[in-house]
Amino acid sequence: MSALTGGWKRSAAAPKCDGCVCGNHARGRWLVRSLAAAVAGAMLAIACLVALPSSAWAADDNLVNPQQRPDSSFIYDTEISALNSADTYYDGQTVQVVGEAVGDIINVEIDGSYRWVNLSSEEQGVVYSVAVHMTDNAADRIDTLGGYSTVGTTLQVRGTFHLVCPDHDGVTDIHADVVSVVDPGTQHPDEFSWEGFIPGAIAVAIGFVLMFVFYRLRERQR
Amino acid sequence: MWQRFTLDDVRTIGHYLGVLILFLAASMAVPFVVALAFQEWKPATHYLLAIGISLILGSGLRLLRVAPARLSRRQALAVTGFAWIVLAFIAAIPLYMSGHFNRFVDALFEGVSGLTTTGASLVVDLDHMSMADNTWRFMMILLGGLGLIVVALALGLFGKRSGASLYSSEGRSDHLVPNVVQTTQFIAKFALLFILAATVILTVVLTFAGIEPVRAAFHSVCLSISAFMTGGFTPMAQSVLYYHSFPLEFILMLLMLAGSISFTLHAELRKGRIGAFFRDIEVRTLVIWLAVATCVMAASLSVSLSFNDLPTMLRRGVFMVISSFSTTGFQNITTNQLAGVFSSGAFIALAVCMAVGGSAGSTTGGLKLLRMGIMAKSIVSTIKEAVAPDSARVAVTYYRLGRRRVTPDIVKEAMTVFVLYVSTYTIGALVGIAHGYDAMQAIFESVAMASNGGIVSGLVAPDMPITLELFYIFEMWAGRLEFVTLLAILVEVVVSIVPRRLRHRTQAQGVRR
Ligand SMILES: [Zn+2]
Repeated sequence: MSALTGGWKRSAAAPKCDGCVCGNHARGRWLVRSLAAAVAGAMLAIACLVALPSSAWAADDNLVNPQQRPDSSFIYDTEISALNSADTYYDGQTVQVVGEAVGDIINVEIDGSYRWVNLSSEEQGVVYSVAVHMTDNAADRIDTLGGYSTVGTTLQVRGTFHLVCPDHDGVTDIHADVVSVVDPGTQHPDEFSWEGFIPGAIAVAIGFVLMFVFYRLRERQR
Repeated sequence: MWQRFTLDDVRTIGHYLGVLILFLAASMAVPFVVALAFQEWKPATHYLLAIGISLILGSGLRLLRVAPARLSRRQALAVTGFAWIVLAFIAAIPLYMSGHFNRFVDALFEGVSGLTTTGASLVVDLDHMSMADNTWRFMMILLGGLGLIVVALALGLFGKRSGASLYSSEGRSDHLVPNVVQTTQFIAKFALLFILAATVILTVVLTFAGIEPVRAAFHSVCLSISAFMTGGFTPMAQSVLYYHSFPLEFILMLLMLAGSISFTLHAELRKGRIGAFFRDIEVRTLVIWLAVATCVMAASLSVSLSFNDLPTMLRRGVFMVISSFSTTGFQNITTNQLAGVFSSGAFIALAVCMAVGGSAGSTTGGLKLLRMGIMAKSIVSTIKEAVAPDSARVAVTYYRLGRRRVTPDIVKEAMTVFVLYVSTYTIGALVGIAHGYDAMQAIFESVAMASNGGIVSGLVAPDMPITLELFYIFEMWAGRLEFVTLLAILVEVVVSIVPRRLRHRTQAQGVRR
């Protein structure tokens, strides 16, 4: 167990956990318990507070995979960047990622009740993305898709990672079991201002003057 | 004797480069209008400023020589050669302003990659890029794919007389009809028809896939241009993989195949000469070569741990073979799968496909099937000569718009270009290795650059070393010009800079052109 915990990584955007089945609680509980053994007292009180809402988890409407294999019960809270350079070690593991839904929601061929959603996240100036296979109900929770002047809904997805998916002709994907919204999307359209066009207008004007000079000179040479 | 550029040459070359820059300024109107239409005000200001800068530069250069004489062959070579880098530089200005590039050289790389239809991209966060900037990326593919000079000639920018020498210096020198301007107009019309038809079909496919119609249409135009021009840019960061659509991949494969067949042959087909089409040396080489490449790929994948079941192998393997042999650069597997999961045999097979390329006189890069075919014929001829009795005269022929003899001149040209390509691939690989990268990936990436293939295995990334990036820019440029034009101008530039006295000595030693 302790060897495994070395693999835990704190996700960049720690999601709000009330009411979702996100696995952070399982980790939080374990962490707090071990810390409590060392510090006890005041820390124990916090542990109780964190553990309290746990009874409410099961009531959530999130899709839970009933056939979840016992050996995949260890969830790897990981970054999308890690999946972008994943080797076979990650293949078939249950992973949990947080990312922004970008682009479009694309219908899955043949199976009409599923959708492809592209999750992306930025790390050190590089943007990584991964394809997530989810139900149409889960995809409905996306209120905004990322694009120019929009930031898409930030989702937390827990599911099975496939390096070369046998069900989808070998794509790298995550089959989502649990999809929860961490942050709604935002829109920030460009504001129109005449001032922005001034440098361009001046440059174009100078350009046309030069062009005019050229044609005048050429006429004179004839 | 090597000739140096005179001041008069420089002024004339500057004038014509100015004309081309003005042409680029005009084509920037397209992304500008797109920006206004979709209320992307920031990109709109960028494109207006870029148009202004190019107008100033273009008009300024034109003033160097107000009434230029007809272009000489040397001057035409220089105009063509420099056009790619100068225009890429101008094209990079609005790209850099978009904020999607970490440094200006990255934007320049994107410009060269687009204009040479390589298709490797250094955009950061492509999925959040504006429609306007994306439009500009695909405009570059369209202009570069048709041939900058071809487009300019078709529009009559150079007047009637300078045309012929310019056209033949661009590398793809098949003459379809005697008149150069007519030839170029035929190519442009033909390509646009193809792209239009594909756009309509793809829009339907993408709408069914759940993308809203306006976006679907936009993506379809971009993908059609990119596929037929064998460019390789895609509007989304996940390349073709993004769409998860087999019908889309199938149509793109057809487009890439069509784009990798010479325009001359398209003209033959249109005239109904099907026999001439199938007897053509390149079509035959293509069929044999594709069969061999696919078999090697399949054999290599079937013994690997993944990608070994038939549907997966067909969908991923065949698409990647076509994308690489046509030097397009679309990917329907991730870069991680390509570099890490694909068997090394399949990896190398793709590199070889890119290295060879498609048909001469098409938009593909690489060595070209025609040269491979001619070299194969030359080998046959050598063997025939060896086994024939002394009295017999051996003649080996090939078919290209009529039966032609394999002459030593043709073989020499093919061999020279072959050697130049292979040495560039090798030197580029060594440069990659010297930067500390994995050898296999370094070879792959170097081939992808010089062949204008554009499938990348991970070295081309926004944080790559700048020296490697500059070398890759050079490789794309050299590969697009098929070396001869580029080497000719490089020699002339060097000769023009080296002091006269030194040159006299070399001339005295009898160095002759
Ligand atoms: Zn799958």
